[in-house]
Amino acid sequence: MARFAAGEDAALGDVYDLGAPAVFTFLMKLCRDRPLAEDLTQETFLRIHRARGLYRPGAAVLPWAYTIARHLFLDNVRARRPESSTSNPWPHDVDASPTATREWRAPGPSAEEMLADAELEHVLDDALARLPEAQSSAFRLLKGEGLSVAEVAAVMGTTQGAVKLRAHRAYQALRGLLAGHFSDSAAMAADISQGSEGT
Amino acid sequence: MSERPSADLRARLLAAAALTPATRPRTWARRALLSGLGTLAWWLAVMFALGLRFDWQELPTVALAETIFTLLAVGLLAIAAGLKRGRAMVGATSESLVLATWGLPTILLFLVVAVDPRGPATLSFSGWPATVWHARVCDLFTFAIALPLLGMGLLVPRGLTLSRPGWTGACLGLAAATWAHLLMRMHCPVGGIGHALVGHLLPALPLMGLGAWALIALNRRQNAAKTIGQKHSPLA
Repeated sequence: MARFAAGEDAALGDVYDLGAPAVFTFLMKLCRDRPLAEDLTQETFLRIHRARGLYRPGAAVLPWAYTIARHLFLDNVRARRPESSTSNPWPHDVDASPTATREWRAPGPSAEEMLADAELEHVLDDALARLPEAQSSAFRLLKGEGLSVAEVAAVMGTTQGAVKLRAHRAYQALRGLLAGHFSDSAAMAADISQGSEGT
Repeated sequence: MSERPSADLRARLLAAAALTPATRPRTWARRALLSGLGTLAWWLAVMFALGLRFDWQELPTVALAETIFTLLAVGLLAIAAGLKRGRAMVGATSESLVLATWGLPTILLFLVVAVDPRGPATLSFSGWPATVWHARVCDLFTFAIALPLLGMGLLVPRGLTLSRPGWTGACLGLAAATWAHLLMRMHCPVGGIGHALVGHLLPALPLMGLGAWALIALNRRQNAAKTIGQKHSPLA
């Protein structure tokens, strides 16, 4: 970033390579629309490009990128509000193949484990999408992206206490939503097994 | 839980960046320097035009020094909070901004109430109606002096995505109001807590509001000026 801020145009590619996957993932989880997430990712890095002369040497680039990305997402939501419809909980173009989404997992899982993980991730995403944006973003940045509480507070423009509170509320809400989901699934499985025994 | 953008996004970004003008290296430092010099030049020019109060030499040294030192310190702290980029390049932390926005005006209020530098020839008005009526000139002067200072302060963070633009703008408004307050204190020969409160301190409120509104509006305008799908973008 220092090279880029010093005026080296070619370094934008390096900055993009370092930050784009995380920023894109964050935006993808927020908007659940791949083309929009790509557009916003591009705009985020263009903002960084335009503001590179304002960069303070040693500053963290990722929280800066997350802040821009989140602002762009919120502005996009505001701009679309009149024509808004409920977001698609199952994005049409999310690559659901396990190889695309399981980078963090230890190698060698079974097909059942991969399927269960993929389902859990979708359920989690779906549950997070039902929470207020402030809560879900705090949760995602803290737990998903691994930012510190101070960094999340900077990204979200709030205090560290508020970040902890939002993440805690998100956690509580997720517990409720996921408990409801899995109790429904268990009841459905029980029904199916009872039905199969009856026949 | 990470996903990757499509492979051509990188190429699209680089193509769009080639068409998008970027700020030059050390723009922040240059803007801050120009803003500081502009502020100093404007302040000195107005001070030269208005002149020192006629009872200047009769004022008690300690009270005068306390007033000048406190106003200088508050002005500098407000600027520091308003122009801090922070570790994440999104401005000062919320805690700092809230502390500055509430704490510094409280210090000013305490200063105005506790320290009233006055000499034998210092003018004063009795009664609130007279105080308020005569303070309107100082209100207008303070506001008019502070406006260009606020404008110069707002130019520095232009282009930066601030996480709390409203609070940041309020800090810059407070800084501008404090510098104008200092100047008016050195020019206005009217003493009394009422006059200092209404005539010198009160304009800080609209200036803080104006700073907050201006920076929020600038941020919104900047966000609305997207390059995607527009003339700069190869997506267009």
